[in-house]
Amino acid sequence: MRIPVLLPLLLSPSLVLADVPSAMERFLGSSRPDYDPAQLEADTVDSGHDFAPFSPADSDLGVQQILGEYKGLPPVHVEVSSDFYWTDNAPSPTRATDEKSWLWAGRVALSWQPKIAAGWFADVGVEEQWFRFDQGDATDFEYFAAHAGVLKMLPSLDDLLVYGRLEFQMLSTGSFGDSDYSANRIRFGAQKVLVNTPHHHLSAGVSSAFDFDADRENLQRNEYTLDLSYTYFIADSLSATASWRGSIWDFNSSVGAGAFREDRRDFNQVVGVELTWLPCKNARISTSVFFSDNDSNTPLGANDSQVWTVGLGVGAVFEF
Amino acid sequence: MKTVSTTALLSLLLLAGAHGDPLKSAKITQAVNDVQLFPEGSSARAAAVGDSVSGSTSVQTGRRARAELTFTDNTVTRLGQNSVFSFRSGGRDMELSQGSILLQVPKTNGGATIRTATVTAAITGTTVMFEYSAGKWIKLITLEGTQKLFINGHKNPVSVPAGQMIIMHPDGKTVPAPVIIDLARLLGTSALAGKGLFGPLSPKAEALIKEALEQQKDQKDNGGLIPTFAIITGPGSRNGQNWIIGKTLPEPPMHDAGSIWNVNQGQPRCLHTIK
Repeated sequence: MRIPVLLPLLLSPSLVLADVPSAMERFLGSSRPDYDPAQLEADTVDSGHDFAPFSPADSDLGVQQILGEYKGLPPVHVEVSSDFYWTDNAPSPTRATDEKSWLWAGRVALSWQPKIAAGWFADVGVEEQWFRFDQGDATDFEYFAAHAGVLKMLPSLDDLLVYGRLEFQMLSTGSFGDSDYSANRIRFGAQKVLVNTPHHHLSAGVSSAFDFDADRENLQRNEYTLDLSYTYFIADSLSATASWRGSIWDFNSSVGAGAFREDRRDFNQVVGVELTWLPCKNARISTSVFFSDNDSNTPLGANDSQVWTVGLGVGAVFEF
Repeated sequence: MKTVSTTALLSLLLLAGAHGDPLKSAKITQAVNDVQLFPEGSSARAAAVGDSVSGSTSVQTGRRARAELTFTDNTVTRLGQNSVFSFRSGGRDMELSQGSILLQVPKTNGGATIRTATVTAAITGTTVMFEYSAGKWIKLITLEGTQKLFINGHKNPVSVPAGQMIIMHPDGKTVPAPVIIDLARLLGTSALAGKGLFGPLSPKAEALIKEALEQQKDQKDNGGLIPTFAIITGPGSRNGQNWIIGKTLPEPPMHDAGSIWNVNQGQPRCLHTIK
């Protein structure tokens, strides 16, 4: 069976995301009171991004960032989403031209972050995604991932978040049990909120990941990533995010021949904007435009690729 | 009947406990931009540093104006912009008709009350900030110590310890539970409590605030308090909120068996076979 390279799609933002811990928002569910809409106008209560609602004296009082309180074991977080994208570069087995295609991406993810020691939290999660294309030559595939690790917040370093975790990921085409690619790796990273005000949020993250096993072996790699993300909160439930992610993938395999043979190294970037609306606490609707680029040292640019992705998605979050 | 009597007694004790020696007079110790004094029975005049304020006097700040009053018992009142504040000599009641205030009452002074049209805060030796915006907002923040907030004419005050805040509508029928706020961030950005405009509070108050900060930091250190928005938003964030669950996948290298490549529109592409 011939199966196409997945790079064009894998570089799309639907898959190339930052490897970061799961959210800690789940701690907050029971620790923040829901404001009574009979007493406050619902549209002025900023429950969406963790600040007290704006009031005229905020410049005198200061920024009122609300802290969550850990109250026992947190619930398991379940995310379900369904996204529709258009891409100008879908994967296909026999492609002579760019394969433009619509695609549907479905996702189910579970995650849990219990406190395991003073200041330390476990971070475990599992997810499955399905990608289906309407273009005949494009290849449908599935993605499975699981991770387990720890994270810690460092208040003495201005709430720097550090984490480490083991990750497993697997690709299959058509059958969950028929793995086409799998990898085990360990990842370390840190995140820092640089600007956080009721309307502006700027964050940066760095991480390094090291494969200790990959199938196939020549796909084994190390990864070094920098993330930048800026969000402008247009309204309590409407936000726009611009983001950039740059990664160096340092493969254990080599490219070229003879005197020009060297380790393969790719630099890939994803840049995009996303508009997100939260119609209610557990749902989101978003639309996004992303551009991704992969620049490899493979001779003749054989592993270079550019992908535009435009999409609309809906998602829901549940806790139990 | 017994419950009513007990509640009434507790309320009396609460108010009584909040009162020590009466506030007699204050001096203007800071006046930035347009600060006006409205002595009862006299015409308004601009406030200047060193002015004495006594009797039933109202102090009003304009846009981008701030003021600080220091009472004879070292109770400090700082007013934010667009605020209207008054006190009556001989009592320990202050009235905030509009705007924001920082009030620092030394612990030995018995306390004070901040009255608004709809709610009252009872303070006993503590440092607090209070905003009252008629028809819109009430915000009450305790920097150190504890204060109590109750709706005028109602009993059952709500305690607000250091590092916590109450947000409510001025016409609310009940006082909501306080939320915990990041004191370090608040103090770092506050004109009233920060050291940039007004300078530090009394050494004792500063020490107590530092203690509250340390306590909150310890709680964050051991995971009891969690800063929200700790997780960055990034490309394709799936929930549209604050987190990313991500992964990266490598492209198979082109020299693998079965790889082919072509060049299309100037963009070389790898087509690869995975067995």
